Amino acid sequence: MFKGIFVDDKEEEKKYAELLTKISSGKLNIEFRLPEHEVTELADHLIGQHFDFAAIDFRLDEVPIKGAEGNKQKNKYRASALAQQIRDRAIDKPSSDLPLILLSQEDYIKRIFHADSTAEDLFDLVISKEELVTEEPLRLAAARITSLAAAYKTIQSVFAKNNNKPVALSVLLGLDSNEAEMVLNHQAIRAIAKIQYPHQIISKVMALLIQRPGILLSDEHLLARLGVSPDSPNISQLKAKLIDLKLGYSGLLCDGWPRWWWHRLDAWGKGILGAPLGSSAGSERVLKLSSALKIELKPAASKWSKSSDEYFWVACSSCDHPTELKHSVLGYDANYQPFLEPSRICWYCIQTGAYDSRDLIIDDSDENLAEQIKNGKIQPQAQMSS
Amino acid sequence: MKSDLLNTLKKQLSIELEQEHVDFQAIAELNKKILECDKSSVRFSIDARHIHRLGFELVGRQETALSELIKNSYDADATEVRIDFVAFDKPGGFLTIADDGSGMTEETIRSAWMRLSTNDKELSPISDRFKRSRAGRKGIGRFAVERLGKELILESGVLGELQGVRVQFNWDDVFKPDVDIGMLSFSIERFDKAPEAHGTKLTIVTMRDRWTEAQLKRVWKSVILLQPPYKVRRTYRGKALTKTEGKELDPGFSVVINGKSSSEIQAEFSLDKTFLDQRLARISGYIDKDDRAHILLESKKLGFSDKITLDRKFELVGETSFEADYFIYLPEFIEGFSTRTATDVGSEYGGIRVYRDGFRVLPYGEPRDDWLKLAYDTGRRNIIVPAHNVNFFGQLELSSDVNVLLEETSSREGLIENEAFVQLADFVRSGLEWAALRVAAARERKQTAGQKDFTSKRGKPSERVKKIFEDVSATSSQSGPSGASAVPADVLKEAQEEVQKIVENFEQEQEQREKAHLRYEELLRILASLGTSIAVFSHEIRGALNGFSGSILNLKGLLADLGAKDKAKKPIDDVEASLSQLNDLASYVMSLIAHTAKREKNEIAVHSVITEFVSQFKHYLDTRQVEFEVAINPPYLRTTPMHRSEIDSVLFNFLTNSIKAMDRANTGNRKIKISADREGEYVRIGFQDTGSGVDPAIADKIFDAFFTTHQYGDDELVGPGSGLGLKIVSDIASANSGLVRLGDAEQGFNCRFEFLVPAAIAQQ
Repeated sequence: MFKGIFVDDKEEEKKYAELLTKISSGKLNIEFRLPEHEVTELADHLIGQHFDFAAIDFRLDEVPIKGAEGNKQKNKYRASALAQQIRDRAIDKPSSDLPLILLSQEDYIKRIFHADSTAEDLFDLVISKEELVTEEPLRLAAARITSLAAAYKTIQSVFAKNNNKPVALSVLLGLDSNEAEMVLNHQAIRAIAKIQYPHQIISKVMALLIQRPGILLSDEHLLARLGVSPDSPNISQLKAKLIDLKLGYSGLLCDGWPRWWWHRLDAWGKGILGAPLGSSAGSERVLKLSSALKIELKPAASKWSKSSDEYFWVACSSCDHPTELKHSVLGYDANYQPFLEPSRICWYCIQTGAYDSRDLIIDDSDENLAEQIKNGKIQPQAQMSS
Repeated sequence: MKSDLLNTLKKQLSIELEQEHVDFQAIAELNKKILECDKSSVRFSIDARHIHRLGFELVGRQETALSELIKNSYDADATEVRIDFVAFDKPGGFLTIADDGSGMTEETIRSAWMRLSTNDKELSPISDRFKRSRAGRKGIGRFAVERLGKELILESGVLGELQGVRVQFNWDDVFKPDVDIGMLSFSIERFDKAPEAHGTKLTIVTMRDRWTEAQLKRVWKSVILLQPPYKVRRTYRGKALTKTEGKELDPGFSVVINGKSSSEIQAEFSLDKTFLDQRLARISGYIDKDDRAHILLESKKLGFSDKITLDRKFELVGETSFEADYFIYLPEFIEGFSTRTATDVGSEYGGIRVYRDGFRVLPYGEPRDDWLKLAYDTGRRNIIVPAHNVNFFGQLELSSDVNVLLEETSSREGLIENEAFVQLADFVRSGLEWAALRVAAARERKQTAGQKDFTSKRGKPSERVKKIFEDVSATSSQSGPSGASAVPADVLKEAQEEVQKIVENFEQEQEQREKAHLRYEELLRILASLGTSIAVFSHEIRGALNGFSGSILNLKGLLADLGAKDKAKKPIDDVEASLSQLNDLASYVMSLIAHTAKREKNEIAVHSVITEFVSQFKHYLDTRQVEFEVAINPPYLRTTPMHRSEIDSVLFNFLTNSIKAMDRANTGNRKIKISADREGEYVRIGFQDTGSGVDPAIADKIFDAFFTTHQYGDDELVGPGSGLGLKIVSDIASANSGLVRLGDAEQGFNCRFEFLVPAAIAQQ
């Protein structure tokens, strides 16, 4: 069980601590605290109490809390100030580092928090309170917090065993050295092995492995590589079979963010298809996979051409649907690395404008192409003939 | 030496006087020479050529000269004057001006016509027979004829005489320099005529200038002022009237200018083409036997009619009626006249006259009378629409046996101003004011919300002023026999007044626009503060809803822990469902605020906006059992750059309207269809429903501010009608060069609104 704290200036928000504790089925124990101290005092308190994680509301200053000695409001700070104080202490003592979760209202997160990238770097996870109104998101949030707390503990434990010196990332990711040599031998990833602070390691793992497809794949990208429709029956069975085949990722954060090793999937796929996964059409891939796994699966259909005979490869960054490279444009990513799978946005989302509200940016190299799609110069065959 | 000369002259004069056939010319010359021998005093003499100089200085333009001669006919109580040009398209033609006026005796010709600067019109400003207010400028007639041609034959005769008089003048040959005008004599010729014939005929030979169509038109326009624009009353209750307004019935005055050019083009103008045809609206009103007042309004020019029954009774007046023609003196409403001419007619003859038993009751409707207080209130801008006396030409009927309380004063100068009179004035004034305001409303209303040429119909002020300057330049290039190109003073004056009027009208319109703008700004301020409140409170409400939802989840967990039965869980599930619905709506408001916060304009992908809108309200519509259909073709449709929140607002307003309309229709078939397609260069969003539809009678008002058909209690969520929804949609359309309109609903639907905005440039 991980012991955590939730800091919010509104007493009634205590229920989030209770809800997350309850839904975690004994994995989390979250206590609630009002920001009754000055920011440094509160940071000292949180570190001193050895919490496994801290969830903090963005606005800690909306309900004034006054000290006994006078009328001065003590809680005149926001989550980022408190988080900075905690991170500063972790630099001095990495063993006291802990996951920080921003748990706040959605519009604060969107309007203020995301506008400040330095504040963003301070937190491991951002959860909007609006999401926590039904069980499923609540369960996911609890799982991710648990996963983060476990990851920090894992890192600190490995460091402790290594006399507080950095360790190879393969140890943290659950790969043997041979496999690691093949998969992790990229400059940006090698650099992670030099980091001494747990929160920085988590930040890099998140950015280079968890949040972007490449070395690891999310469920959506897994289906795209297999050419399976998200609406297909038996997806749970498919995933169970693939886990049995050791294709699933079991390293840091795997419980909160299920992922698949691409290099293992690739090798397995070649064995099934006799060729790389990307070398056959979705319909063919699914036919062979269904046969090999003895599971009935439905092939994906292109949202542009409506055909299953496309060479599906990635999940669209806008709609998460399997899409083929030839009917998708390149998305811009400021933190792109060569070992990552570039973001792709399917032509359907470009045509209908669905990507507009997802804060996605089209890469300059595909801008002209996207303009032609937007303006009807390029249309699916079916639309042109109608 | 000089005394010898005087004696010689005396002898010569004595000899002349003693002869049997007196040589008057010789006597006049001797008389002049004798006077020159006077050593004790000096005398003025006038050079004969002075007539010519006066002609050109006093009567600059030939059309003014002709107008003056026509006015002379009017002043002489003529009922008709005929003007015939022969070969008028180049100098040298001739012209006759013949009237059936009172004519001149030989004595009148001698004492008045031949005498310069007579003050006859000053002494007798009213004509003898029809009591016309004399229009001609004093003593200018003979200069006018000299201005027009080289020779004049004057023929005139009076009623009852058997002979008329004819005199011939040869201006250029006789009126030479160094000749004293007093020494010039012209022989009188007498001719036989019928005793009932009367009138004057001027024949102008060898015209100095050519005549153009434009000049003839100006002559015609100048004579329009000579008589009232309305027909003079001739009967009352079926009986012929012999007198009206205390004088012999004026049968009217007609002018016919009939010339024929060498290109055989007939140019004919007649005053029968009445001024009143230019009316903007006809207003009529009556008080019925129940003392109720009804006002009717019809405007063919604006294409509408309306009526109203006043909200009070007029018990002291009795049955009566009035009718009036309403004029607004703007170029777009007055054809064939300059606005200056039309305004002059209004100043001279405008107002509401009162007739009692068929006879005019003065002073009502006279130029300085303001019995309806129209001049008072327009002057103080208590009424801002055109509603001065000059804007109306009308009359009111009274009868001594029906309107018994409305009596004339003993001096016969108006009605006794008792309570009945106050009610009467209130009746007419209320009717005219209502009609003027109604016309103003009709003029201001656009035909469609996005109509862009609304203010440009009459042309830009700068273009109209430019046209006036061009006209003035054209006049200067054709004026003057000497080839002088100076602009005649009266043309210049008219042009200045026209320009002044255009500027004043523009200022007035600007003022009205500013007022409308201020009203709208006020509305925007209210909406902005409302928006700020919504932004603040929606955040709080969203927070509260989250808290509520969390508490419900907690409660559910507790119930589960306690092993509660399904029966106990049901109410919690219901609360959860309602919360989910509220969360959907709160999310919509939050996203709207987020979009509104973004100030930049972007091309809007219609598919995405509509899809998101439908998904946002899906739960809400499901609970209200509304079936939703979306058809977007082509899917790539994008609008011109605009604010995303504007499209959201359009869809939301259409949606709330549809729900209200379907509730009102109380139909089991509740369907909404949103479609999007192209219409020319526009993106068209169609919004259809199975509601009650729009009554054609109010179709032209639904886009007006504060117009609503909804009542409180229609729908607790979508709220009562503010009357702003469609106005906002309409303003969004206008602001983006688009339009909103009612369209033809597809089969299965009762109402269709269409919102059109230009497509993205690349899609046009």
